[in-house]
Amino acid sequence: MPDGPVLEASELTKIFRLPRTAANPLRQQTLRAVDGVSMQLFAGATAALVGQSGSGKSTLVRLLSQLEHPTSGTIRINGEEVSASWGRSYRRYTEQVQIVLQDPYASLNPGFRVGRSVRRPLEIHKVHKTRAEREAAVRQLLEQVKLTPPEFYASKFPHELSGGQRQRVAIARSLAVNPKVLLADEPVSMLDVSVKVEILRVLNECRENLGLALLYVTHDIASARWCADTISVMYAGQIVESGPAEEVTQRARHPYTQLLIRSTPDPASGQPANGAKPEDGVTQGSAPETVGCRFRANCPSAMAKCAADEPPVVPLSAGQWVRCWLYAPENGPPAG
Amino acid sequence: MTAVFQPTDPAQATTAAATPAASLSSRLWVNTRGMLTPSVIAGLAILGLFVVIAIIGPYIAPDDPSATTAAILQGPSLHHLLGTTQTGQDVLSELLVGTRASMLVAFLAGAVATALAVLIGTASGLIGGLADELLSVLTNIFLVIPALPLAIVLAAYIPNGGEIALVIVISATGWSWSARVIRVQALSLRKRDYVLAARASGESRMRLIFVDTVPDLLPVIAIQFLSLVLFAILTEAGLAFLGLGGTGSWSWGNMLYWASEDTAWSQGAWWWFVPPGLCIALVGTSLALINFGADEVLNPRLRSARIARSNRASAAEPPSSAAGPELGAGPAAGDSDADVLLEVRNFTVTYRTDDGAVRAVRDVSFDLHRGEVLGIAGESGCGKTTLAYAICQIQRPPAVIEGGSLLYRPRADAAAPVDLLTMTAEDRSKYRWEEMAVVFQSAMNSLNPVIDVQNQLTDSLTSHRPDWTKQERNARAAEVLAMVGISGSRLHSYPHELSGGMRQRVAIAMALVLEPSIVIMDEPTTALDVVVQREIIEQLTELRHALKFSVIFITHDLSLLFEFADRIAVMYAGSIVELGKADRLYRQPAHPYTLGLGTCFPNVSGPLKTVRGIPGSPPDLRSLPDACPFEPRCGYRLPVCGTRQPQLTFGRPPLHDQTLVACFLHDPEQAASLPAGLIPGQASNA
Repeated sequence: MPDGPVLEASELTKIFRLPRTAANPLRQQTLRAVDGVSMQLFAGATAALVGQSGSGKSTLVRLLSQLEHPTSGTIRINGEEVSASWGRSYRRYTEQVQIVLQDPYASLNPGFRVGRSVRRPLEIHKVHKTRAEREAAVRQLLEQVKLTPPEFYASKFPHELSGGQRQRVAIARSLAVNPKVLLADEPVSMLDVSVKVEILRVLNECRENLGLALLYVTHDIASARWCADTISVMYAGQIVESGPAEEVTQRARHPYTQLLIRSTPDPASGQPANGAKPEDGVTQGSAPETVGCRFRANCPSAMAKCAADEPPVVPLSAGQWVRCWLYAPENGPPAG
Repeated sequence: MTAVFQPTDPAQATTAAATPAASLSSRLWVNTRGMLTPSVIAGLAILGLFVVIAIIGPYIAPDDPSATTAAILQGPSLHHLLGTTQTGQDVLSELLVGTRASMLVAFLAGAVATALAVLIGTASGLIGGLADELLSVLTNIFLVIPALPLAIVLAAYIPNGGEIALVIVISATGWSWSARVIRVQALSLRKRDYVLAARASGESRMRLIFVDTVPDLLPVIAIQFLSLVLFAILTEAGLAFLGLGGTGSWSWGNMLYWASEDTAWSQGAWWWFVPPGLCIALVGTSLALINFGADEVLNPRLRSARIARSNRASAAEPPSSAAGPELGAGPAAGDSDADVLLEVRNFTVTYRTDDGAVRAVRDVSFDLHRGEVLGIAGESGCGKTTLAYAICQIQRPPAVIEGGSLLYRPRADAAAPVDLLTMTAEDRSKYRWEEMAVVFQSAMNSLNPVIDVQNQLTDSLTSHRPDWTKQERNARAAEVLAMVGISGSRLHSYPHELSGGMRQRVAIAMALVLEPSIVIMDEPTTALDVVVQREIIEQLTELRHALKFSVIFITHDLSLLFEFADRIAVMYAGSIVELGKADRLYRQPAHPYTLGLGTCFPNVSGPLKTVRGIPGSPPDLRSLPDACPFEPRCGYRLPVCGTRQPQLTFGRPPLHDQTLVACFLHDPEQAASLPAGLIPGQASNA
């Protein structure tokens, strides 16, 4: 495996057209759900994508899995640019890039036994020649996600399993074709606290054993710190800060990352610092501002410059970077 | 402390929870058994009888139905069991022979119309795009044309075509409504996650439609088929009665046509037109009965309504109060009664389902103090939400409060507390919301979409403060809205104009509008982002200091409770396993389950702590063994844990007087067998 990224997205942008409103029927309003996002996933590493709901992280996952297509920007797998939606080229793409969805109660066909759900990708991609080989592969996949004895679980219907067990089945299914990249879209947010840890462990083990490039999408920055090598923080369709997990969580630079960390329940931190409390709460929707910094309306350190110009990407030490005027070289050393 | 934690084999624990006994065959059997409601059995019996007659009718008919005799217009007799017609034909023979034609037309037309509906509905719903729009236009055109007049016109153009013509006419006029139903269903199936997941695994478009989605449409298609057969049998009768069914053969509709032509009614020959009419009504009824039954099975909501009906009598009985005198001095000891606002004792709630009783809340006792935030934590399925609903007495069938008492002390000096379980329905509705209000997890989605914020807020004032003027009510609405941090300019906003966080604040404002002394919050921030959650929690902290109400805060997020709650009750398998001050539970968890929950979430600040989690999953509440329910997942289990249930008692020193815990590790009788330092909560893990 070369040292380059397995999956590389450059300048991905997705613009959705919104339904015309009765108040303004002539103006076509658009939503920049994903706005110029570049991202690299490396074999054997976990990259976390952290953001609130509506920040565009699920849209980004759909773009990366080619379930949807970007308005602009490119996706390269092993250096080769790919754009596919159906047919053989798409099937070849799904052999490399697989996805685990958020809701294990919805992502498994209720009428299929576990064995059939896991076996199906093997049949589609003709991974094995004989039925016996396929059955053996299904057993091995179920064991890999710790559903033992595999025969017992293969004969179950999804409704007979708990949420955590279903999510393991979904993971086993996504690993069936031996992908290089696994995109996990909030894989534990629907699960119980005690189960979350187990599922993240299973994902982590599979990444290690199979050399997967894992993208862990979450709204929980604490879990990202625990299980990812790098963290990218997304706000309103843009990545505002990115870097090694410890750097981003322990030396957060972007005011939004700082707010996110302050807001996360953490009994160890003692009393939480009181952040800025904008009236009516922080805007959750995507792209609240279209010119300048997206976050400035909620930012305690907003300056005149933030409204006028798009903030620059400022590289920091240890591979960390931040998209914020506070750290621009002409501002001198940051005050906060 | 960490060294002694030995996770049990997760596979062992999960296998136990996965109900291995429930094989597919038994599941199907339960389903069919559930489907055979009395109405379905009756419907099937009637329909079966007619199917048999349709098959053997022509062979057992006593006479040739078309043969005329001299015995004209005779009433029922031994010779002609159902009498004769104007031309001396035997009515019974006509009926028996006509059953075949009527049933054949009905089922054939039903089948053809269903096939049309499935073809057009699924194509429209699953392919989408332009095909969907064109097919929808076609469906809508057929929908707006009244079916019977269209059938009459069509039938007139196919004269004397007999049964085939009838089948064509009826199916052409009947398919559109069903096609629409199937299209809607197919549309929703297409958007399901598992269809998306199948696509992401590389499945082809055809297989996505025919393997992943169409099988899930079968129940809907079956119901549509029955409805179309019903439509066909009525339309056939109507057309034949009008003389449009072809007069060459015998059917029920034809019999009515001739009876009408030959003025049977004015001659009082009831035996001529009543039997075919009755047959049509009976077949229609049988189809409707089967449809209702199938609907009930396929729509779980209707099903639970049935259970509710059967449980109503028992649910109405006042539950027996099992609180003994010693309980007053039990868990509540150490608290002066004056400080206690709500006293929950031996509270038990059970779901009475078809598969047996699920004991969701078992023997729960706790006190809610004035002005405190009591957190209730636990995994999903531990009974925390059931407990919240039952305390408000808004539990829905099949949940039934089986025992215990709920004593409410509105004022510190009140001599006798009010028992909320035995109060009259009228008192209860007054008490509810006035004294105790609820904020649900989904509250932000349950605001009425067509009412603005101000009217949502004044709604309860209108019923509980009837003497207030409109101005007073509106002023109060503005006041509580300001309390939850929303500006007055939002008073006339509608729910869809607010963000999720703001809607949840409105739901909290609605709960506070009557100044209740207890606010029960069931996962009020779980659906929100952490930033919004933080804002709401800070707001709540300010509000309860200002307004002095007590909060029961239910969540699965123990780390949130550590920061926000005064005391925490940890629930497992329907019971409280640990109850104590929040900081104590954080620093010195006494129950192995609390300890495990504390290691489930990573920390975001400071050095990264070990995240361990709890192996396995919670037990099946239908079949709890007489043992500690946490025993299979517990890393500290003793031999005694598998033999009986531990009681909620005070922890061992230094937890004495501070923490109540249900665990044999804290049982003095077991003390001798424990190695020193093994008991959780005795060594500080902070």
